Amino acid sequence: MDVTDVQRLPAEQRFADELVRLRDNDKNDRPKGWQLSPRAVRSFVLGDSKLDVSQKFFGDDPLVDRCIVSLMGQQGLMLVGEPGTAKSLLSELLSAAISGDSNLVVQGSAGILEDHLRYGWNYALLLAEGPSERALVASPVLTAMRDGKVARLEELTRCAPEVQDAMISLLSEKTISIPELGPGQEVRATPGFNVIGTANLRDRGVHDMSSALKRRFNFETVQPIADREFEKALVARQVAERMAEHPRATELDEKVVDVLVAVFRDLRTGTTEEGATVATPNSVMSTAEAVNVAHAAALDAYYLDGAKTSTSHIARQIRGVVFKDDPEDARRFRSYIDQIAKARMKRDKAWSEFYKAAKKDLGSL
Amino acid sequence: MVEAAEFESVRAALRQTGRDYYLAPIRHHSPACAWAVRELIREVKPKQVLIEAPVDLVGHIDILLDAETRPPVAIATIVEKQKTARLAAYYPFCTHSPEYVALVEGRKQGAELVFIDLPAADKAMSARQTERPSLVVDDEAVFDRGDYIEGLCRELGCRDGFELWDHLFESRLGNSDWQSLLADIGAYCAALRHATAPEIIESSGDAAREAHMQAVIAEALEADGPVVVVAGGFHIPALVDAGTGKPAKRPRGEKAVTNAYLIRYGFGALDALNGYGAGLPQPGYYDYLWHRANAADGEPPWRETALDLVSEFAAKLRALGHPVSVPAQVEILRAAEGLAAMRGRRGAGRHDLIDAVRTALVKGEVGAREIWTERLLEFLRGTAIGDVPASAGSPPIVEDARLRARALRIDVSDGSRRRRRLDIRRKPSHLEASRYFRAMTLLDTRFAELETGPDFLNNVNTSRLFEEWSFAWSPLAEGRLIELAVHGDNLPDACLHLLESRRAELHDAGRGRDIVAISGLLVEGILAGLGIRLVPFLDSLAEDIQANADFELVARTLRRIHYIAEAGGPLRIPDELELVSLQQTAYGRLIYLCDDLPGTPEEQEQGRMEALRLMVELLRDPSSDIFDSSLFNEAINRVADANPPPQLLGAVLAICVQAGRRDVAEICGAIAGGFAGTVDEQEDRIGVLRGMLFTAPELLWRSETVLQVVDTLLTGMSEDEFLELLPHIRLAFTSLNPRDADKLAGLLAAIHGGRVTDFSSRSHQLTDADLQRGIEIEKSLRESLKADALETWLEAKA
Ligand SMILES: Nc1ncnc2c1ncn2[C@@H]1O[C@H](COP(=O)(O)OP(=O)(O)O)[C@@H](O)[C@H]1O
Ligand SMILES: [Mg+2]
Repeated sequence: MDVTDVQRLPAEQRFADELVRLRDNDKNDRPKGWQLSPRAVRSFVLGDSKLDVSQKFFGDDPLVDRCIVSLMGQQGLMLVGEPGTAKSLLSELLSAAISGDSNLVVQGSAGILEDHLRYGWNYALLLAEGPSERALVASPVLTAMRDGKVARLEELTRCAPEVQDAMISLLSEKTISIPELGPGQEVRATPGFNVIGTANLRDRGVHDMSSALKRRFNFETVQPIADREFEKALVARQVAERMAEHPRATELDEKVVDVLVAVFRDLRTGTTEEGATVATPNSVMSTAEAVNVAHAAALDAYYLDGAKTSTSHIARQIRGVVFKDDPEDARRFRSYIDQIAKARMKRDKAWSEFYKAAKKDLGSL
Repeated sequence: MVEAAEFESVRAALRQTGRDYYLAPIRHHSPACAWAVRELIREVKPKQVLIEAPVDLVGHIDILLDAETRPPVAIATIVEKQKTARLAAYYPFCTHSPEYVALVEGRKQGAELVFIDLPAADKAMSARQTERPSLVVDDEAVFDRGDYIEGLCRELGCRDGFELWDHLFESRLGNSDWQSLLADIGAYCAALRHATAPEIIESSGDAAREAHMQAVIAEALEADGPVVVVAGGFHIPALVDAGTGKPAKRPRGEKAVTNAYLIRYGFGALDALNGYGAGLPQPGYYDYLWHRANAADGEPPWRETALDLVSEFAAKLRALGHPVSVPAQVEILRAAEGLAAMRGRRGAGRHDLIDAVRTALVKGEVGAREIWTERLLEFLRGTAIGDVPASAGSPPIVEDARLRARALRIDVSDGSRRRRRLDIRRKPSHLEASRYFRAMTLLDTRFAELETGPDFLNNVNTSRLFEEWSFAWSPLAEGRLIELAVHGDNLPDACLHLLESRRAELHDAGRGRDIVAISGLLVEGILAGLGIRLVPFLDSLAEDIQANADFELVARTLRRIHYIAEAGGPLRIPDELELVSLQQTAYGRLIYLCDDLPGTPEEQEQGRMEALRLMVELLRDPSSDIFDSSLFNEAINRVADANPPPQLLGAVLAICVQAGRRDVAEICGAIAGGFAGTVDEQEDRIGVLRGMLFTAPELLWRSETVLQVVDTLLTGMSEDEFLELLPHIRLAFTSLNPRDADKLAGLLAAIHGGRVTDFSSRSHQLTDADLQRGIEIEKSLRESLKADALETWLEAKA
């Protein structure tokens, strides 16, 4: 895991002062259990210059509106889309604004059991005192129900189908019974409770969501950033953050970012800026992947070449990072290099270096 | 703050009671504006109602208000200048259009109805029409774009100018305080205008139009009040002071004839103009609001209106086989109202509904254009088509077809059948006539028939110099054109539409992969003279090619496009129609598909071999320098390494050798290896050889080694082996043309001694016994065929 990820504070702490300002100036009604009115939640995510609240999610304002309104209702909210489209970020921001707490997270994986959605026991206490409130270890979902908060289920489709099924009854009944504490003992969801799931439906090795589960959620698809300049800025910023621990590494050249983002956008959208169509790979061409490529290229340049990161470093990394093991994708990448990148050689040095290095990497110059 | 004061002054100037002068700033097809306009006219009881529409269309007011006219209708104007006619614009009217309401209500009040804009033919009226011809006058783009709109959107949380408009104004439909609504629109438009550079106002033709409007208004104010002006909000600031300065003279319009027709119009066509500054989109929705407001005689009951829209939408979907459960309908309504409340609106507006449908109905990952939203938009667009009285005349496309015919001296004055012989390669005017006939044929009008002439689609008689046509104008042809009127105002537009829909039909019929057929449509389009207009079609063809996975089809399509690109005569394309990138797309796709060759299934082998040969021939052609042949050679080189079936191996190795990528020794090795190796089918033994002969027979005589190897192998066989393989060997050598065969014979003679004729001439010494045997064989063959009822096989083909 990335060091920066570990160190990162939850949104409600990172932006504590913004939340205070929003709350102090909130003139609209708050739904029961919410820390802010829907409109203030929107301002938190999309920014409000008057209150000096920064914009945190970019590119689709109506989507944010819809998310907020979904969370006011009986349905859960499911954010789907390719990796790296800021689903987790959005889920964190929404729960921070609505509940003041973005930490009630279940991280989906094959190892997740039903208990992780309900509750477990502190076995020492359980043995000592028998089943008791004190010995009970509440899941994030249970806590969210009790406290009227938003629970987050990251990568829900990575959970086994039984676990997903358990989710269905949690969402429809909105209660968790705890028979061990006595007959009829249960926790009922208090107002403010809801669930935000995230999932990447195209991911391999995921379990399809049953239609029963789908019915419990309103879906929102988060798209990659549509604005090219913003994507470039985001890539440059994130690589700079990651390279911060290598003090002597220099910042990425604008040209390098330009080529990288162009390649990613061409392959992601299937249409180049000149309007030529290209075959889109199966691999994910997300902004986050672009950052990974740039990061790897920067490390490559810094440690192995002792040089400034150039487009040839990008070319060398792109295949390893993105087109790891799909032969079809390698083929698509080759035709992209042959037909699109080659034609751009005469544009400038950045492209011609990119082409040459990629061609060499593909092994048949 | 000077600015704010300026905007306020416009607000105040809308009601100049002293001069008995009232202005209503409007936006096309806005029911909120229509409501306010009607209230204004009812209150003021004007003597004159002045409306922003071309002054020379005033003669159409009566037919617009005819009892039989039922909106949506449009006035289509055709401007004739120097013998060419062009459709200048549509002026659509819906029941809820402020202009239409002003006419209806003005007439009710007995007011004189006046149009005040420049004549339709004036160039200022089309100054904004750049890309797409045949639009309504595009004077509302300011509502949709620009810094001011963007800033306000950001401020109020709206995604675009349309949402902003609804948020600010449409939400006040039917409100009793219609005066404030008009005042606010006035101030808003003043701000919009303030944010527009004076040069733009000048160059867009607005300044000229406004000068004209000012002059007409000044005349009207002199004549008789009260005067009500209904005009696009953007113009209002320029009109408030009309008649106060020095007397303005009406600028004279240009000399041009305008023919105008009132035609049936549809919500679909109206909505297609969305994004071209032509008013509010999804007219069905606004029409619905208008009727609800009228029924309530005031604000539409927003809640019920949303509820009814949702249930009608659900009913429509159910009828289409996409039922929406009741809980989902409830969720749509809840989300729509939740969104409206969060966005600070009186009730759920159009965008709230659109968002709500997406929220409640989408289950899974979707793109920006998503099926439920599309269905809703279609629902909100509406399907209404208006009606016009019989006296309204015929639509532009009919007029266009007639005018073109006349210009080409094709007689369409009566219905008799005539003939015409066209010298299509030498006389440009004849070529034009041919294109006209072809266009009319493409459109299925049954107007003309080609009796003799070149057939470029099937490559038959393509070098013919003349075409012979017979033709006759008929009500049938006219009917067909009227039918096509919705797809364009002129033949080229309609043809283009037809090509697109044929392409769509192919796709629907599962033949979207058949790019050879689709490229045939391109041929038809060129022959019909569509020229540069085919650009969008080229784009869709490029998409089809890019999505195609069939090596053979892509190669044949590439060859066809290349042929077109190089062609002269009727198939010649205008210089501006650029086929290079399309060819390059096809070429790139082909190279991409090369990597499929190694896994070629048997039934596709022959087709792909032929495709390979096409490519070799194409790349050898001097005109093919737009292709980077090294890419092809490189791809083929990869194929050679990937263990393709023998025949393909021979073909690709031959290409590699020709390209200097591989040594002759390699192909010799492969030929010999195939001969010696184990095979499933006997014929595979010479597969490599056959492949080589197919794509590059010249290797046989260019390189002695190859010939030697082949010769050694063939002569080294036992008699039995040879006989068994003979049919396959013969087949393999059929790819040689007679000249090549002679050349080969010469070389063989040199190796084995003897004369060329020993190998190539067909002199046979037959004995009588041979003859007798032959006759017997034939007889028994005939009998056998007859026994199987296959005598027809024996009949000579015509
Ligand atoms: N539209 C966007 N707005 C803001 N940041 C974005 C956007 N798209 C991508 N990012 C950046 O990419 C990072 C990866 O996002 P993450 O939430 O982990 O993605 P996901 O959960 O979809 O895989 C985010 O933290 C953010 O920095
Ligand atoms: Mg995530």
